[in-house]
Amino acid sequence: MPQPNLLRPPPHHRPSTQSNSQPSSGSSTPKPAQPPITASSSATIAESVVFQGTFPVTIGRGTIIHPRARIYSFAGPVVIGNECIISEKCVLGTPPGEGTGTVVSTTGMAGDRNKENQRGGQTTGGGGGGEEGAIQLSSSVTIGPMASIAAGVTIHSGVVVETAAAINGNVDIGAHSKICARAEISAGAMIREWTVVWGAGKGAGLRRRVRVQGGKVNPIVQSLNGDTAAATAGDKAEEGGTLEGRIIEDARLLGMRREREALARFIGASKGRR
Amino acid sequence: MSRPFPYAYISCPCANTPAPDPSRKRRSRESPQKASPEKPRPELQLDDEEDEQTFDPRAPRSNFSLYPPEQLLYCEDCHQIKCPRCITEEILCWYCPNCLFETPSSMVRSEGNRCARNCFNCPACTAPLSVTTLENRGGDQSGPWVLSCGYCMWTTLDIGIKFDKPTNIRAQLAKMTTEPSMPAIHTRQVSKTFGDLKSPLSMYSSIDDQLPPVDGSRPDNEDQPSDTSIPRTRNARFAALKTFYKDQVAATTTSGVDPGDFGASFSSPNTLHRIMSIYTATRITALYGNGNKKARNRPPVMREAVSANEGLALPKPSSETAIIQRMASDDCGWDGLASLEQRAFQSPDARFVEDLLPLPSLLRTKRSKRCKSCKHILVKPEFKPSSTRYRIRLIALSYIPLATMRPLILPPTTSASLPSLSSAAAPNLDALTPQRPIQLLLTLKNHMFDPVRITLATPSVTPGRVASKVTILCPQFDIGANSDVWDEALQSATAPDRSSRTSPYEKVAEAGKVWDKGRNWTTVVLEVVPGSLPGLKLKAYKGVGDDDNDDDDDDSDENEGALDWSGKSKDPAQQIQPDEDVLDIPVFVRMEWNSDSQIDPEEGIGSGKGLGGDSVKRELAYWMVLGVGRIES
Amino acid sequence: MPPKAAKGEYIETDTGNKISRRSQIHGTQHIILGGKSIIQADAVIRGDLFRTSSSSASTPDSKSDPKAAAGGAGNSIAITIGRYSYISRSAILRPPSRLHRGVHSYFPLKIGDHVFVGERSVVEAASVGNHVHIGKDAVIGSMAILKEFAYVLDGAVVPAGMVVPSWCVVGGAPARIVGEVGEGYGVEGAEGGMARERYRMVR
Repeated sequence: MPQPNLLRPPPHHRPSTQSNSQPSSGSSTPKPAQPPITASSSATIAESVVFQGTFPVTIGRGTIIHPRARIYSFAGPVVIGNECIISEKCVLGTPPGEGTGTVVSTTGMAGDRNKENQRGGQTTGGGGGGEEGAIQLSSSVTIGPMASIAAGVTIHSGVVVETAAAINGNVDIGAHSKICARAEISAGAMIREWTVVWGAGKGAGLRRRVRVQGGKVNPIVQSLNGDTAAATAGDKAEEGGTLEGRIIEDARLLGMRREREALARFIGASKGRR
Repeated sequence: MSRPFPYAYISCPCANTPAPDPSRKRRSRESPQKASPEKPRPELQLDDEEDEQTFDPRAPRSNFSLYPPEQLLYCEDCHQIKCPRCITEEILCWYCPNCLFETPSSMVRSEGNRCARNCFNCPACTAPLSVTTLENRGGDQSGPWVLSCGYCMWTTLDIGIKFDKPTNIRAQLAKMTTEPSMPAIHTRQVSKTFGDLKSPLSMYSSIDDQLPPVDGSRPDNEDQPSDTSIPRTRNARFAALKTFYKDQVAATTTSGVDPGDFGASFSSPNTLHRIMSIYTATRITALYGNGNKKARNRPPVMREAVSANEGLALPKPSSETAIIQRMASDDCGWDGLASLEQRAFQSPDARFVEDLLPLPSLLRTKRSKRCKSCKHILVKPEFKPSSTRYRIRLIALSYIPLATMRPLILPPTTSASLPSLSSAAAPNLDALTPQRPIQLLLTLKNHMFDPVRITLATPSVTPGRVASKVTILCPQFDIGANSDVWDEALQSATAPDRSSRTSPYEKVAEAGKVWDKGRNWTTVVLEVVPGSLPGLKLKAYKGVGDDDNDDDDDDSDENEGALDWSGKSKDPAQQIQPDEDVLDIPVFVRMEWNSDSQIDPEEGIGSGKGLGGDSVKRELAYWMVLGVGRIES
Repeated sequence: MPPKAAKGEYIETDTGNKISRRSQIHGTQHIILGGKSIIQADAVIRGDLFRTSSSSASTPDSKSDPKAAAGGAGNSIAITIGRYSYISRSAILRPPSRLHRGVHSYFPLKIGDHVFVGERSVVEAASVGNHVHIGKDAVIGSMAILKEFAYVLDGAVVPAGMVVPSWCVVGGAPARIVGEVGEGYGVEGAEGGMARERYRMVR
């Protein structure tokens, strides 16, 4: 039972219908306005994805958007980078009726955006601006099912936002971080790179952990093996040094690429012709 | 777990009996209904009238006797409901909750109550760890392996550990992180198996004793990295100390006990006496000095451990400073410190997240349960960990009627004449309007093979400050027997459908009549007038209008203004206590039935007089608490 | 209690499944319902993510023939749901996936009989045994296994790959075993045995 609005990713520069309406009109439950969408031809967008809003939406190459995802660009442009996965029933932006994402600070937002060099070369002008309420997803971002990303959020590359996590306004999430399932990041928070936020609820219930990127030598193993290396030979410091934590992330990103490939077939196929 | 409304809890009668005392078990079995002298201390004199006492669901003690019905068991011998406090448990098997493999009981202790296979929990977040290969690129399965947490993305690379093969991870980890058994000097220690070294800790706690400390070992390492005989981990030090003191005790004991067996017999009085005499004997001879015991050689004085290879560890003066500096350093910070929860199951020396080692999964058990007073077995599951079947399962639900409730939706005609009630067609049980009557259908379903006569009793006004009025329109009724299973199968498809679909619109609740009746169930109507919350009175009455209920709310009469949720109110009486707005109704259930039981009628309380033949009249009585809803504030 | 639904909210199938017209089911041909199961409004069921036999073949940008992939796997099952199971409003059922030997593939999500999935819960488990209760707002991670009579509390986050043994209660984020349900759990009509009653209440 697909919904009536069979939205296909337009080739390029889809003629925008209501792109010039007032950005602030989102607060008064406007008619579902169709934002101008710029999607890469290699992006896969399911039919039942809902796009609403007035600001442009940009979708990078290789990105997968699952069915029933909802993307609202009432408060600002939405830029989804390359090779992202946006899962079902997640909400990007603030839906109409819940008030526009009233945003106050734009800390570091412009700078972050500039360093993102290949974010959809075909931006329709408004996408890269410094508007408040813009949602910016860099490359290889995974947004889990039922997650919600408020307006004004910047998510850097390699970030995972898990199932039903909630990212409130003006949050900035550093690269390769992970927001675990059902965590809620309070408005304005800065999550540094390589940080895992896990635990229950928000505030004090949440715990943080920094992922290790470099190589480590276990002190116990070292202390035990300093002399009696024979027992655990071949465990450490062979083949040119220790393994770095970074390769775990590399493996994950590789897995994500495979997942996108699989999804592109599934979602692409179910749509008939992309 | 709190339940959504409506719910029914059952109070185990054991709350009213004295604490189980094996010597008095006969007595307590014969009179489990007897209110104990300790419960109602103020009304101690009224004890003879025990049945007159209303069960107060809000009393602090009630928490300990109220159970959801499915948690209760029933002892056929005592003819009584048994709650988790009235039973004893016996472990049938140990199994790992992750791989569901059984661990033989002989292994449980040596493995520290933890899975000996590949099951680990994340030391950072407790999620299960999975064994993954690093070289995912080529898809080959040969690369080094790590344990990784799919939740918080912790991996053993965070602590600089990887594995050569994906099997037997625990042994690999143990090899890496625990002291290899030491050759030379301590011959005894060499002869000890690894399990012996670990066992002392596993006796007392579930701490994984395989896991050695981190920091404590570091200074040693710096000191004498070449001396292999020095124990460097905490466990090894403990083992060395133990060995040393065993040797000392053995050497100072005159009688030639086998030193190896000494440890096992610490508890025997003989050994204790000998240990005590180690100290006293020398003192006495020193005091009296007359040397009348000269014949015996004076045992050498026991000494303390003095060297590192005897297990003594002297922390370097700078070690604490080093830790503090590390804490203060930039690359550690708050996130680099291990939390208390994380440290709870780690080595006592683990301070930083880098010191945390993966934790093998704690085992779980399958247990059989026995009645505490008569030792009859009540629950016996099948041994296999994965099986969900029971060999014996005497649950209370097979004996006492199962109570279910649902709000009675008022007929449309009534709501038409009373517009105020139209919204109450489907009352929101989480926000009941004070003073607006609601009706509930209380269904009791009999699971016994004998018909049962039920008598329900409830106080007309619920205990506590929020006084709600309760009326059971038909307090006495019969429930049919759960006779024919096939009947039930055929009827279940139709009968409840009929009751739920049509009856609310055709019937009006009448006093003294059952609402509906099926083969083994009966439904009666319960009428409840939720009371006003203290402090909320004025507000509540504004909507509903004053009525004669005023007198019941004696406690709240002097209250003025709206209830203060902010806690600023100084008067504690005015504040609502947590969950005071929950409408809990105590109901006393008394069931009587004629059982053609084989059991000796002398047994048990309910037996009473036999009614001729082998039919025995039985009765069972207990308090039940119906949670109807929460009163709106 | 399920909310009162408008007349004709549910479509009843031949085997007695009641499926809300407002449910959002994808890939119906890859879903098997055992009968008398309920799927409420806004529940998303991802039958379109099924296991393909030759999913390793294609490369990222070779959109060679999506029809072949879909057609060749017409008989592959993404989700099975047993009898008297109940999928509440806005829940998401999604087959689990895993990267194995460089191939990312989806595995079937098997849901047993008398299973309850609460509102807004997201289930990516590999298997959900009979009589399992999943509270509302719970998240069941990829490839998790919930054995029979497992009980997942509201708001729990069962991490990926976790096994919840029978009769165990799990809760928290990440979920841990916090207790056990009583021996009477799952008895018809009592807690855990309400599936038939729930089915009757849905109209």
